[in-house]
Amino acid sequence: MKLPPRPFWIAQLAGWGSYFLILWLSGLAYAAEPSFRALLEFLPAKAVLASLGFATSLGLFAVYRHLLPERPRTGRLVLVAVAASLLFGVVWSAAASRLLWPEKPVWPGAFKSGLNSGITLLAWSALYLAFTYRARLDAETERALRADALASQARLEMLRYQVNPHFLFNALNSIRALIEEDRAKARQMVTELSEFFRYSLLHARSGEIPLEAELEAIRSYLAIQEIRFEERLEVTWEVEESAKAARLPGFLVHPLVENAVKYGMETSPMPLRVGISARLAAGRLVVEVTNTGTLGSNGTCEGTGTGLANVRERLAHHFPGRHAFTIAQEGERVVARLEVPAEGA
Amino acid sequence: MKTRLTALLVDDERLARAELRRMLAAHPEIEVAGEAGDVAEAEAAIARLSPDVVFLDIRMPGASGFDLVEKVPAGTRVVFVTAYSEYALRAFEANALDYLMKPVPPERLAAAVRKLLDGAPAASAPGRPLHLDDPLIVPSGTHYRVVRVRQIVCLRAARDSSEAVTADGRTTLVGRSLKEWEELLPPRHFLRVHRSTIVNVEHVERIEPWFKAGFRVRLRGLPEPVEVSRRHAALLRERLV
Repeated sequence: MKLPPRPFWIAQLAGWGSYFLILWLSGLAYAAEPSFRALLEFLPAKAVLASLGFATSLGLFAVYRHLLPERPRTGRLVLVAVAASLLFGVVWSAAASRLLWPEKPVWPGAFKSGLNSGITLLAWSALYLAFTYRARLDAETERALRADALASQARLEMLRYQVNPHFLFNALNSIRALIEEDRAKARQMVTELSEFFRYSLLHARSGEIPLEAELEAIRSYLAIQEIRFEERLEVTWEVEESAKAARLPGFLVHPLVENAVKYGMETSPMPLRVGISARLAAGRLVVEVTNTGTLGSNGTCEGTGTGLANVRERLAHHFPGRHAFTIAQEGERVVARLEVPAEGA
Repeated sequence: MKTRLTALLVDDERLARAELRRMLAAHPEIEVAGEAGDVAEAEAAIARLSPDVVFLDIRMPGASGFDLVEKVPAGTRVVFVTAYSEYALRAFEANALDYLMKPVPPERLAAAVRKLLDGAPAASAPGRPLHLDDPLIVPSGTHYRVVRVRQIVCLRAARDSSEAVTADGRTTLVGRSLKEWEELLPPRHFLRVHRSTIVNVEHVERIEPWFKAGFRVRLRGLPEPVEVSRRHAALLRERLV
């Protein structure tokens, strides 16, 4: 079992410490004659009581951890808290009775005093549950804020793709060259460029997008790169029909393709071969982008830091704990593999 | 002054080379002697053709245009042709080399050709402030050299120009006056300490007293200390504390 965090122990020590002090000092009220000696006399018994309370509350902690879901209904919460507090109250009293007055029978006295102890534990439970849900609320608020920040960053990142100056100006330069050389190709390039920018400027702005739309934009992007790099770039596609409807956040696959071209051009023997595949497997969408060439020595492509980090963070945000993303050298290819639940397919 | 120059075009994209060749066809003074698709090819072509000018793309697969620059004989002019400036632009504006942005406007190319024919240093307009990682491309002996701004230990006035001492102890003429450099270099790192010296604060080893109320600084990699004039000493000490 996971151990409770540090603040829990601090609160626990402070709480039961205070409980012990109050119990001990209030003992004076019952003393025949209030005196320092009388105080010393109660000390061991009160210390045992408080320690047992401390131990019992740890049992309660375990019970709440196991029996209460992330967001319990109010009815269930109250029921579990009252039942557990009373039950542990009886346990507490029985243990105290056995330890402090071994000559007296434990039952039924423990039931009677167990009610009192139970009420004390119920107060403990209230505090504990309040703190726990408060902490959870804080964490959730923080996560929401972080998700917001990520979304803005992603928007910025997309903006960078929308106006990626290097890609745009190189493409325009190629078009200008083609106008003299091969008008049909020049016209095709203008079309592809328009399609790509239409997707990035108009569609990929927000929400989830069918994989098909993203792949279309990638097709345009690669068509432009194929014209630019001519015989140095070869692209193969392997996309299952059923995978096309799967929905995922826009511009999640494109950065992988952009990296494959950019770093493949640096490290691959010519021609650079880029492969894109998408399939459904056991309710999961698997997208792979491969390129011939080598991955940076430390397992990450040098310089791909921000692009890939953004992909990772957006995956974690959209599919928390339900996705897998790896980038690895497999033989003479670098393989980026993305796996998410197939939603919408 | 030459009336006709031979040129080598270096770009990994055939279309980009073809486009530049077509544009240069409008300038009969420039004769395209050859093309190269990567740095290795370009090196061989330079050795074979000894062109007067190299039109050079910066971003190419494998080695970059900057890698080639150090292999270009200092007599050969270099004109960078790039799609996207990044840090490079600032450096070119601070340099004697020219640069063009793709797609190249015809009038911009015409201006560059004019400057090549004049043999005048190309970019002399005041540049934008430099960053520590910006590359400066300077002629050094028989070849060009790429010097990163942060490598500069100090700059000294040298006749009507300036010379830079780099961390490896080499001295290179970098053109421009000290006053111009003072405006271009990042002021957080470079400080004028004397009428004839700018130092890179990062490379200061220690300050020592020098005659009455004067100072000298010892710089990393420099055997001789540099004199600090009295009116600059306070500023320097302030910066170093």
